[in-house]
Amino acid sequence: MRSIRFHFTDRLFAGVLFLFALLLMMIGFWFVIELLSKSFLSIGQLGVNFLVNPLWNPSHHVFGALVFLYGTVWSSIIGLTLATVVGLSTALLLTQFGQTRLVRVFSFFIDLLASIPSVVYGIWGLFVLLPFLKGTYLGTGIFAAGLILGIMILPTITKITRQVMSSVPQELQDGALALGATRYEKVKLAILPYSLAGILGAMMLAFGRALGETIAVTMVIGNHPELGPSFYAHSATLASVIANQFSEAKGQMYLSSLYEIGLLLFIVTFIFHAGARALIWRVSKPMRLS
Amino acid sequence: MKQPLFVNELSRRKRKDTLFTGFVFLMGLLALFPLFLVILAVLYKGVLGFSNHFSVTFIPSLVMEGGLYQAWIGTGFMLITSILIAGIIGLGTGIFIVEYANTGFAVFLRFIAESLALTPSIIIGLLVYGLFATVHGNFSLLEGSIALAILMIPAITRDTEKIIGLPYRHLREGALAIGATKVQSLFKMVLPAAMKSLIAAMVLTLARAMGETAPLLFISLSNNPSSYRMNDSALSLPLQIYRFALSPYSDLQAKAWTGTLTLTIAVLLLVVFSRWMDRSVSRQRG
Repeated sequence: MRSIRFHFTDRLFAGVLFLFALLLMMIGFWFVIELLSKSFLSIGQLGVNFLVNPLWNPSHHVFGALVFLYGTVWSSIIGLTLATVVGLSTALLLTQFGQTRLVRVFSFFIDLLASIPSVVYGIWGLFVLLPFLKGTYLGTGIFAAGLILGIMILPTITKITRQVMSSVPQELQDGALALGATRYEKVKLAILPYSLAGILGAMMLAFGRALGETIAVTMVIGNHPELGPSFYAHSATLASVIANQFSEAKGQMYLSSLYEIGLLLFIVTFIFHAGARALIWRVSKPMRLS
Repeated sequence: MKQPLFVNELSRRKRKDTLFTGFVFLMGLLALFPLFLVILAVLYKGVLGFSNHFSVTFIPSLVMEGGLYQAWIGTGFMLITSILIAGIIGLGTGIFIVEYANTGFAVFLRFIAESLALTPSIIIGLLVYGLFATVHGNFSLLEGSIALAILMIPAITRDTEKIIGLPYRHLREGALAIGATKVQSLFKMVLPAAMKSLIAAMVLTLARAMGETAPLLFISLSNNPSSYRMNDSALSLPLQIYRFALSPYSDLQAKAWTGTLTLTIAVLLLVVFSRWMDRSVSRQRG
């Protein structure tokens, strides 16, 4: 009797929780269906042309996303390059040279860096970084956006590569040292080859994040949808054009093509996250991705 | 003949090692550099904005006397509502994945949660706009709360599942072995033990959501910044910072910096609190 009652509460509880899980699934499906259906018009009328047309001129009903793909990819590549060099080195510093206290303080600061809101990086970029860059020969635009993105994805790369590196078996590291390797040789011969997949995974994850970063990039990139000749020219990204133009967009076609840009962004970031997940899970399964 | 060669080789290797060490330390410092730059700038400009606030300025602007406190109220309201919604749903789904879903379904749900958690938040802005624009054209705090809840649900689901999944397996098995039901093991053993970690994770999610601008970009619209009433338009602090920063008026830009200062302090406090919670747990566990 008693056990039956308990099992009933168990079932009831499971049922309620199942509804919550169903809601999560529905949100997931809603994302995909809504993006597809809203961009249906644009996909149908423009087809592949949408992806290769370098012109974006809504007032003349010309919609091409190539310029945004260009801005997104290049700013993210710049950011990824900077963040990988600095982040990988920081992870090495923390795993190879770090005493416990140094590691703790460092990872605390890295956590703070990760938690600063996008809009704060944006306002800093707009009023501090851009005036500074204008004074140097570097200039603004894609490069400035890449620099901000680099700062923003640095914690992702540092954290994950550190976790990956600390999962390198101790015997392997001790073995390298026992053979007379210097610290640099140990890193080169034991640490890096073993954690290569994880490092690539971290890079992919960070890249996916950089692709979708909106507010900070919108504030510094200049929002000038034209294929510029240089990295220091104003540009726009997939996310920044949505942020900038969606509120003012008039007309079915305009809205639909903005939704298609959203769909594009969704697909591209999804691919990178899926790749990252596969790579990182191969190295160490129970790891937090973000 | 041979000895100099060997010594050369060794000193070359050592030099390489020294170079590597120097480079790594340099890069480590460089990693912290932007954090200090940003925090310094926010402190300096933010405090400057505070003092400007009390001086009388005659720059033509629509919101001369408006401060950012309505934006704080809006953000506070939306955060509380959304953490209530997302906390229940996310926690529930996380528990469902750990306790009740069979392997295939659990993997599927985990996959959805992880994917949604990593989706750019501007897409949530697009979709939530579409959702409510078809129902009615009026955006308020409720819509903003739902947008933030959609942002938080996948993250809380994933965190819950990670926290109570593997680490508390022994506890769950022990409880079940002495004849407890799943509900009993959950409420009497697992949840009390994991409570601090769960709260830490939720506070971290809350800190993330606090600074999110993109999901609210197209809703909780108040294009007319002079309207500050709660009932006809929602204001959000990060959104207001974004608008003020991009406005051409230096008065509003100063307000944006002051808002940034308060936002950064609030977010960092939440992060520190979350870490403190989590650390006290890991210390207990030894």
